[in-house]
Amino acid sequence: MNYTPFYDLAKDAIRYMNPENDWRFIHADSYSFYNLLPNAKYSSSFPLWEELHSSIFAEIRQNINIPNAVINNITLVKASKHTICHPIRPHCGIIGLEGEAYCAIRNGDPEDTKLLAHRAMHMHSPNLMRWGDYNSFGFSVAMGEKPIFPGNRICNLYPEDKCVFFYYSINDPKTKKGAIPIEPAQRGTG
Amino acid sequence: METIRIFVGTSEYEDKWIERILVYTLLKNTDRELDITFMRPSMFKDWNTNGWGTPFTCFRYAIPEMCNFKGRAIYMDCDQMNFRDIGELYDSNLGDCAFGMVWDTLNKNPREFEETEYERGWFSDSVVLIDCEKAQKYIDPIDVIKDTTWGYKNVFSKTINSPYRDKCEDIIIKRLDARWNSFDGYVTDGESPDRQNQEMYALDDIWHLHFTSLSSQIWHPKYSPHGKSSYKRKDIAKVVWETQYKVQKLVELL
Repeated sequence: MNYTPFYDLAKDAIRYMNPENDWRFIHADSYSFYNLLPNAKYSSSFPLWEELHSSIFAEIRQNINIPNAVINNITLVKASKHTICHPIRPHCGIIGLEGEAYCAIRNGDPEDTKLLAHRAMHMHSPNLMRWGDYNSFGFSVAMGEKPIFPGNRICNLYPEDKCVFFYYSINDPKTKKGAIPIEPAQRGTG
Repeated sequence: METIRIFVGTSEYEDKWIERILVYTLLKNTDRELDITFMRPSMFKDWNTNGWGTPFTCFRYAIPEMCNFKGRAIYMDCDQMNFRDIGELYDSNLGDCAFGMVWDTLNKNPREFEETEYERGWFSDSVVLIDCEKAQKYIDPIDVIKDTTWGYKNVFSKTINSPYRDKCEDIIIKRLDARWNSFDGYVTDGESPDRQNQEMYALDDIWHLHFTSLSSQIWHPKYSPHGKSSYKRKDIAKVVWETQYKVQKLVELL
């Protein structure tokens, strides 16, 4: 994956944009660039996003090897020492840029693993957890390489203070064309 | 020339981004001396803020008393950007009125006015030119305002006879040119049934812009629970970002 457009966008966004809230990443600065809902599309007016969004979409699609993937969200996140992440849902990806983060991917049906993932949103030392006992595996996120896309699995992300990463989400490729699934928490939030 | 007193209603820190743009553009477009006060929650610690739509909704009503009921002052929300000498607004003829405001045709009034001819339309107090002496007659003391349950906004609206235009225009409120409070580029006082059909000003005809739609505000403050929608006016967004690039570089230099 070519990380250059991601680094360029992150650098300028953190410098020039106003930090925002995103429900997925509690107590973090987030910068929302794109959000596709059934009845509305949000695209940031930030000039560099307008310039780079095509190449960023292309990089993501190439990386996950789904050329026609419908990307429905791209958000940049800068974590603080207080950041807590909601579980990263199926068909979502993480592109680590700076700092340190730990990730735990939960094998099995997301319907079965989501409760465990919610319980484990905060953990003091995720690197000490015996993830294998929970049919999961944990690892330190590589920054600037090895983007994470666990497909139809849930994962927990534990970013350290000042960790910078992109979050993105695609529609379930198995969903019928034209049907865009949305989670209840997104419904009505525009 | 008289120094222009400007009070800006704002949050503690979540609106810094637009505050800087507002101040930068106010200073850029005038040669007058500006005395700008940011009305932040920390200035009004013991106020009852239940029911306020923003962190600063009712601070504006403290202005006449803060000015000892003397002279003029301008109030503006922080989510604004200036394009024209604010001195021209300050010098506007108020006649015998206490306030200068823009008429907002589409404002939805309280439920009691539903299905009446007063369902929509009021004088918007998001940009207000205030004659502090005359305003004393229509605004309670701060000690009353700060303890008002669910906000003083409704009390004030009733006192100035809003939304009964015939009972307030040219009596209590002087109608300002709507270009002094253009809602996202729209002709705020245009005769339109809805936003979709409301007329828009050309960019060079906007004097003072108000980013009223919280969902589409370009900077999305952290306290806003609203979902994000794209900003419709690309020409305005372009100017905002160009200004922000300058402002940020200035901040980093200083």
